[in-house]
Amino acid sequence: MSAAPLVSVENLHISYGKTHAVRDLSFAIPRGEIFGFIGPNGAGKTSTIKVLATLLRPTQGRATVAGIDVARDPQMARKRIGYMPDFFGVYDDLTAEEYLHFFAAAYAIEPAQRPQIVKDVLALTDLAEKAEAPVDGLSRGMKQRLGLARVLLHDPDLLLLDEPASGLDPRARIEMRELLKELQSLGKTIIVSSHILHELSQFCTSIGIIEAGQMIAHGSLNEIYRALDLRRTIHIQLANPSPELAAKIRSLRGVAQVEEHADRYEVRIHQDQLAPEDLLTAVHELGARIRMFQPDAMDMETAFMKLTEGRTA
Amino acid sequence: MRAFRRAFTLPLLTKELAERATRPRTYWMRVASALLLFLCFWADNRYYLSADLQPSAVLGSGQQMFQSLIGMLYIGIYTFVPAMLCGVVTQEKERDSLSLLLLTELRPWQIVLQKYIAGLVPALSLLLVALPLGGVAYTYGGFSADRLVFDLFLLFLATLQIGALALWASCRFRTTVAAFLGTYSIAFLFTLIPLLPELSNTDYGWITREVRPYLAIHIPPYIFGNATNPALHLPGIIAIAGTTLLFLGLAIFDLPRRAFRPARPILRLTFAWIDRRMQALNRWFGSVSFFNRSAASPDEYPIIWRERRSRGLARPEYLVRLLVLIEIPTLIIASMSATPGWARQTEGLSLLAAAVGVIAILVVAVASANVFVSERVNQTMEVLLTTALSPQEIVRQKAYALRRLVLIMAIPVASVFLIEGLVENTAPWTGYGETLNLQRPIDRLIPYWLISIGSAFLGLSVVAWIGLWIGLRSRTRIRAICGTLATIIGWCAAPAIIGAFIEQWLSRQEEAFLYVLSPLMVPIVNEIGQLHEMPLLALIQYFVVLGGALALFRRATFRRSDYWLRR
Repeated sequence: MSAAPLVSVENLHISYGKTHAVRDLSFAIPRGEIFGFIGPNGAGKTSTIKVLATLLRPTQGRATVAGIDVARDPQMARKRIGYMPDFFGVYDDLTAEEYLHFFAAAYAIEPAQRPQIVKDVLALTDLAEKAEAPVDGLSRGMKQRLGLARVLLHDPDLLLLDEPASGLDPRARIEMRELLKELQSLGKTIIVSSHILHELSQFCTSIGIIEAGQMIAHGSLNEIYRALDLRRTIHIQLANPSPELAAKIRSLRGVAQVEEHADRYEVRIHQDQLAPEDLLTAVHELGARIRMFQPDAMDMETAFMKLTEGRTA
Repeated sequence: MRAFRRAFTLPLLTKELAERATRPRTYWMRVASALLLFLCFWADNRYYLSADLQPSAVLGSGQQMFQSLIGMLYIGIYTFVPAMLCGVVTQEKERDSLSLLLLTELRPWQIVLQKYIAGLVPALSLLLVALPLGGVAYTYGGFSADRLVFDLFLLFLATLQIGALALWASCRFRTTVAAFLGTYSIAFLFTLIPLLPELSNTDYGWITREVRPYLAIHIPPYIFGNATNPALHLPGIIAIAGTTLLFLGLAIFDLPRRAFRPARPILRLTFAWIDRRMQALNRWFGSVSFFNRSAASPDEYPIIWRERRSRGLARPEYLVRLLVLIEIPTLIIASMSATPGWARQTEGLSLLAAAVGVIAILVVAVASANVFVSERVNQTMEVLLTTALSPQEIVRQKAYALRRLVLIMAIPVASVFLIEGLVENTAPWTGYGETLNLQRPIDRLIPYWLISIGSAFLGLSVVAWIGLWIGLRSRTRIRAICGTLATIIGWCAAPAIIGAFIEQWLSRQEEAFLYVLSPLMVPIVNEIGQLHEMPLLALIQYFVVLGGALALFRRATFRRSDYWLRR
């Protein structure tokens, strides 16, 4: 018997007047997953996340976190979730430490425990040196990390992160990605919405693609890949390239296409028939001397474009 | 020619007017304000407008009617024009959209003028609506057509002047609330200081009897009140137009210079500076401290902790300083008003009580209306709502943090009443055109104090809860502030308007019960020494209504706080 999922959304409908932002949405997320929530603008991602965060009542349907109905018992649900909105203000007249102390009290953490917890989350988010800095003096990346520190204060099971990397520079984005991986290793379940598809594919264990308020694909990357019959691209650079070798590679089972470039071959494979590591072995056995073997990250952009039509709710 | 055309292309004005035209509230607010003006005019002049009177009996009464109309329009203009204009630039700053405007081909003067005209349209439309009423008053006779034109022209200038002042404050300050309070503070100083020699009726050096009347000619209501002195007309118009141009010039000067300057809480910075100096001095006296500073971290009530720690108007030590700041000048003016050298005697004290009361209402209304809206505008509300604090708890802690401000603002009002009571107890002053004997023997003094001071404290608490209730439902500061002020003014005026419609069916006692539904009625009756003529039950009803309103707005704020906070 499999364990109950941490998040369960059943037949969720959300309407704003005559606009139906979400229609009959259902999905479940097991514990410990990083769930990437993807969709065009206006697809209903933020509305769904807000329902899970207890900020919005569903028009119809049910959403539970750890078995708690978020609409019926929002107070209990709030103890299990940590929510970071896409845009959030900070109380800029406080220092980072005071800001966290304020929220520690708001989360009803025992006063005696607060200093240690604040210290721990500051260390985890690499902000220990900025503890005494006024919040309004922090960079955007640091403010995002402070926001993440805030959601960790009460040790929630589920983190709801709406566009956590928006507006961050490359370094801050990479730091944020590493931090999320670390949180997953600590047993947190994370729902993260983002438009940076390439990055999501690097750390999400499953994704849901939503459009016009409806889930159009849900599962692990491989499952979606397989369902769409998408091909994976692998760049191979050889010390002894030749048309014959290219033809032999092309004839391998599972290889869909080989494009010959001046410096490399661009090989597209059906991943369900041929895994990248098997291709590496097969190419080596064909007598190729391999200088570089670089599979592209899951081509989620292709999946996204193939699945969505740009409709909004 | 091209440059000329470009200078007078009005894209910002077009955009502002188009935006207003698409909002339904533009139309219902205009209808509501026109209706209110017509009703108030009718209510105040119903005796003259009655169809039962012979025409000869009302001939010449147009002057009173016209003066009441102009009075109402001044109240409307000075209440709502600052609220409408003080946010026109600060809202752009708060939305970070001012930089986009400044990057266009529009020059600062063009931005200021277009914002100014767009902001004045609603106020000027109210003046247009008043024209037929002026015509009605004119048909009753008693004043000349020249006077009609002159007074309406003065009103127009008053609108331009207060609008320009509010716009300057909007360009100068960072937030709408600061601009709103700044407008009234500057207007208060701008009006009060030149009026002081005139009020004191005393010559000071070069400020002789001949010079005194000219010191206040930049104040339109002053010229209106002295319209019979034609020597003041032209200098008055020049002074009003000149100050309007000065404010607009300052607005143009400040717009680009203060566009990106972070907010500087002047009061808090001043107090912090005083703190540092006092602490340095205090080392010589063994660091004695009378105040426990706010704890470095919150205990059980994080919102109260944050409000008291962060807001200048919530820290206990700062509030005491604020009290001293308001209380000392109030006491000085009150003491001066009570001396025989001053012309107005207890009328002056009543005016002072009214002025301090209005300031207290404005400060409490703005602060309370801003409590929830500031969390929304700063995008901190959502995060707060996902914590373990329930919406009711958030409201409770926010309201609690406001209590000290209410107390501090009520104290200066109460102290004026205390001094006035003492003055009227010890000397046989007369006032209000020598018609009323205001001497208060001890048996009238104690009820006077209890009722006036009690209504000040209770009334300000009600204002705070009205502000919280409306702020809870509003998304913008302007809407919250205007909504709060409109509700308070509407409540004050409604019983008189309703009474005007139905008074023929009411006995004198029933009328008294109706009029005390207005929160202003009992303090006014008390002030003019007529309280003993009021039925005791009506007095009890007044306090029951105030207490009931307090309970009602409090309950309404808590009741659906879950829904409104999450909007």
